[in-house]
Amino acid sequence: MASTKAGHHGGGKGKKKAAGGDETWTTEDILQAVIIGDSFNFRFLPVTHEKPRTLLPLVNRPLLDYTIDFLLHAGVQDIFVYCCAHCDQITAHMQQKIRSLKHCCNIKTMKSDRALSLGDALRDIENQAVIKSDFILVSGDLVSNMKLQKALEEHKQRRKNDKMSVMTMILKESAPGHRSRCSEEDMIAAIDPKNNRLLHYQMTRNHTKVSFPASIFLENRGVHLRYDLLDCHVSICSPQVTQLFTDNFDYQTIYDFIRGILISEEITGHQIHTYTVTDEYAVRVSNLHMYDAVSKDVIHRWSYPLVPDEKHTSKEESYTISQPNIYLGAVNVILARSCVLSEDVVIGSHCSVGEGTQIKSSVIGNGCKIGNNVIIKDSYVWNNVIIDDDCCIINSLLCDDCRIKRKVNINSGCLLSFGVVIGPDVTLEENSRFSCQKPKPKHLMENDNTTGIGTEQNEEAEDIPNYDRAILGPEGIGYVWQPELFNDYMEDERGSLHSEDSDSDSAANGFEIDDEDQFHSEVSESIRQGFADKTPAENIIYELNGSKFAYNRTVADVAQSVVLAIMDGPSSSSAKADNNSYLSYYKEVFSYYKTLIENYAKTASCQIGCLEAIEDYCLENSTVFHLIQKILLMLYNLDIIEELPIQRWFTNLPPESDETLSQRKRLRELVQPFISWLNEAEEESSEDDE
Amino acid sequence: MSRNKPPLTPHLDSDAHDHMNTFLVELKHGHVSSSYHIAKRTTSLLRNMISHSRYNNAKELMELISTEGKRVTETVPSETAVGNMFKRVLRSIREEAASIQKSQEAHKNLEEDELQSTLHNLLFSAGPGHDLTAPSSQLRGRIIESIGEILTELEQSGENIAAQSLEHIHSNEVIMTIGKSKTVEAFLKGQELAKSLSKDGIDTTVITDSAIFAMMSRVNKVIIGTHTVMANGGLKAINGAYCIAGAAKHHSVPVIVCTATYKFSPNYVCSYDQHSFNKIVCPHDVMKYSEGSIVSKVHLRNPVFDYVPPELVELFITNTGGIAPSYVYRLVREMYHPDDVEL
Repeated sequence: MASTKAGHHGGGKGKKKAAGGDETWTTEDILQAVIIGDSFNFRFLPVTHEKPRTLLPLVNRPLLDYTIDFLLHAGVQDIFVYCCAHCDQITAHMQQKIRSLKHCCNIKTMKSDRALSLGDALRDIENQAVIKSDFILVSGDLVSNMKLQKALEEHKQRRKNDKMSVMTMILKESAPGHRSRCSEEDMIAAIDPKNNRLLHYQMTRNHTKVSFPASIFLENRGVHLRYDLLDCHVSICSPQVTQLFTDNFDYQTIYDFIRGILISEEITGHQIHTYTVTDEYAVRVSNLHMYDAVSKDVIHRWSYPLVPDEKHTSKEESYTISQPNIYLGAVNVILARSCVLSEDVVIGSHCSVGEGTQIKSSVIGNGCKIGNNVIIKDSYVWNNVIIDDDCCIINSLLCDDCRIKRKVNINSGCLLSFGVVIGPDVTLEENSRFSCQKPKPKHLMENDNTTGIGTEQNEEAEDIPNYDRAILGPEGIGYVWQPELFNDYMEDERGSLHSEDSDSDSAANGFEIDDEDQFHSEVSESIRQGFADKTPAENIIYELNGSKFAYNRTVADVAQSVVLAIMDGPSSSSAKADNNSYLSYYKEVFSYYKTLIENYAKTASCQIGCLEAIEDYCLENSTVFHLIQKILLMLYNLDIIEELPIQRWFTNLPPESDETLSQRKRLRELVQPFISWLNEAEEESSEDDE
Repeated sequence: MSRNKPPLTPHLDSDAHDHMNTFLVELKHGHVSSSYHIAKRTTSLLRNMISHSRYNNAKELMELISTEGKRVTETVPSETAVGNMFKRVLRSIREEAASIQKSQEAHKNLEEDELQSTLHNLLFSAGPGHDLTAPSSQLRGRIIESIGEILTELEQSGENIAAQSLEHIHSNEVIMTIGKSKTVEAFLKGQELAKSLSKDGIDTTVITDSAIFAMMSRVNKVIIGTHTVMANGGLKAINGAYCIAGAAKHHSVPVIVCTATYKFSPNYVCSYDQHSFNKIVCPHDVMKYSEGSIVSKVHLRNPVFDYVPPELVELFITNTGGIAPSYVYRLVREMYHPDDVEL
């Protein structure tokens, strides 16, 4: 106790000095933390279109506040909040927080428009060189009352002995089937029980089979395979982590990183360790299902002292608690005499609840007006929502400023984003989502971290809003969001890793796949166009070099592509042609491009590559198949391809298993006379020499 | 800071304010848990605050302190020691201001009839007529001094209580206690010392709370600590204390409560106000969160405190001596000024 007190005092004093200049701090003294204020996925659409996930209220308190409290609890003195989407909102929120916490903690916000993943964020942080020592990496949607001190000590001790331990992951014990688990986060881990080193890590995600590399069992005396752990996305990282992210620019998520470290462990020697939490609470609000689970846990006080009736700063609204878990705002809550609050109810300040209304297991925000005979069950109603008489809201989420008119039934799994108006007298289908923002087609959709609001509003100003009134009711305001746009509500949870990748990196992935085709089509376009326009070969070389660098290709690749493009010329230009026209065309083009091909196919291996390309082309095109000998002769005569590569190609047959082997043999039979002529010619020339 | 200058705007020292906030964060996160440390920290923070803040007179200072006190007690409603110390300090500000004024008046009236002035003082000295707005150069120093006295009292409270153990514990007695109280520990250690003089160690048996009733018949005395003593003499003690006190009553075993004076609160308990009385914490002591699906189906409640009504308590042993529960109101009255009960 005394030591922690002294530590805090020291921190306070250090801060005063820091007012003059940050340099007075020594790196050992301060504990830094990075909050990633962005989820980099779509789980909360359409809500996150207007408000970042970290600011969504959980039991009437922004999620980010929970995370910051957790870090304060851990004794962190320097917090960086990294935000991408809606960074203006986060910064505005933090402004006030920074002021009220300036006595115990230094908070800075970092903005970026470009980061599309955790990897990008960490690379940016590394660029800005703000991390001076080991730091805590946490996502901005964590609710936890965990005491990190022990984990930190373990980590420090380990780092003292072994600099190669780059990260300590915090894992929470949670039995399968527990409500804090969701299938998209399910994972299985292999841990060395001796030193808690992570040996293998795999997301299970509906797979029924899991495979482990045999080496982990061979190399370690004991291995724990654990399926009862939950990754709470809190990790104590050494500064190496950001460096590693920078070095490996393909790391997008923390899973990429873990996988990368584990795979290359033998080469780089880097290791990841784990720390298992048993008693304390730590769960991430990663999707709506978890939002529900975590809200209930907070109401049930598992996250104590992060509960509504504990004031964290004197400015916050306070709550009074009565059993069974009924929290009422301290200021101006008007409850009608006959209303029934059964259990697990939170009602914010300045709310009124009408006669005969029943509320159960729900959270009501500040400033809500709830009419008479309303039933609200298992629902989350944010601030300033007005619900008229005789409504029924079950298992749904209503964002700020929604208006529910008379006799509306909102069924299980509905989500109403900001300012939606429903009713009167309609019933909403299960699992539907509504927003005042118009949904965009999937391919245009950006993820949480880009604000599309500016453009949206312009669009709306242009055309008179045609709200989906057939569904929303005669006075409704808002649009229906089709489920295929997000496809992840409550039950339907796809693996986050896959969806994240395909969502945020679709451009990059597509790039990889089409790369080769694209390159080839560019080359053949240049060749064909160049021949048609009689462009000088040098210019085409420039053009090809451009493509070569753009697609990161080798000289051999270019040579093969050029040859293929020429081979392909006649078939693509004129559909029907006889052998002679083919040959004359080839002769013309090859002689035209002689210098160009020579420029690329200088070495023997390049030339062999070209021959192989021609061979493959011949196998596919029966008309050219019989012309192979003449083509080779032509190329030989034009001095494009030399004797040695031809002979080497000839003797080099693919392995027996190859399906095309017989065809290749036939091809070589066709070429046989040419080869023997070559040999003879060689002998003759050698004889001549003698 | 010269006092001859035109009136200053009363203002709390920002550093002191920050220290207080730091302390609050620590309290919130449970870094400081023993009520002795809480009381001591609060008092020294207050001393710091008073010596660095700007004010013209006692009234302004009291306003500053009481707004700060209100803020702090609202943030940590369950830690009564904090509020108690604020109220103690407010009382001493009142007293010092009054005595300064008294001495000034006495100085003025020196020429007047000695007897008359004494009579006057006797009648009106503690009355409400005192002008707290009179500026005084001695005020700051006097208040700091009297807070120093409170601190000394705090520091010695443990020893003072332990010193009384010989009067209450006799040889071959079986004593039951609950929880982990520093004060009780010191009290029994004093006893240990006494016993070791008679070449006899203390046998200790640890029992579960379910065995309290069964064991009670063999016990001579119950000695417990408490978190707070309410103004009516009731206890806000660790949960299980009510059970132990009830069992003791049934078996007519005397219940002795060891408590320092900083634990005496001027507040009464009222049954509907659980919020400021009790502290309901994370239920993982009752059931593990990882225990699975049952967690979401049940309501778990884990309150920290029990209320023990005054009629179950035999005696309080404080650093100022032993007192009966019925006398607590008097002690409270001495320590806190009635106007300060509500900050």
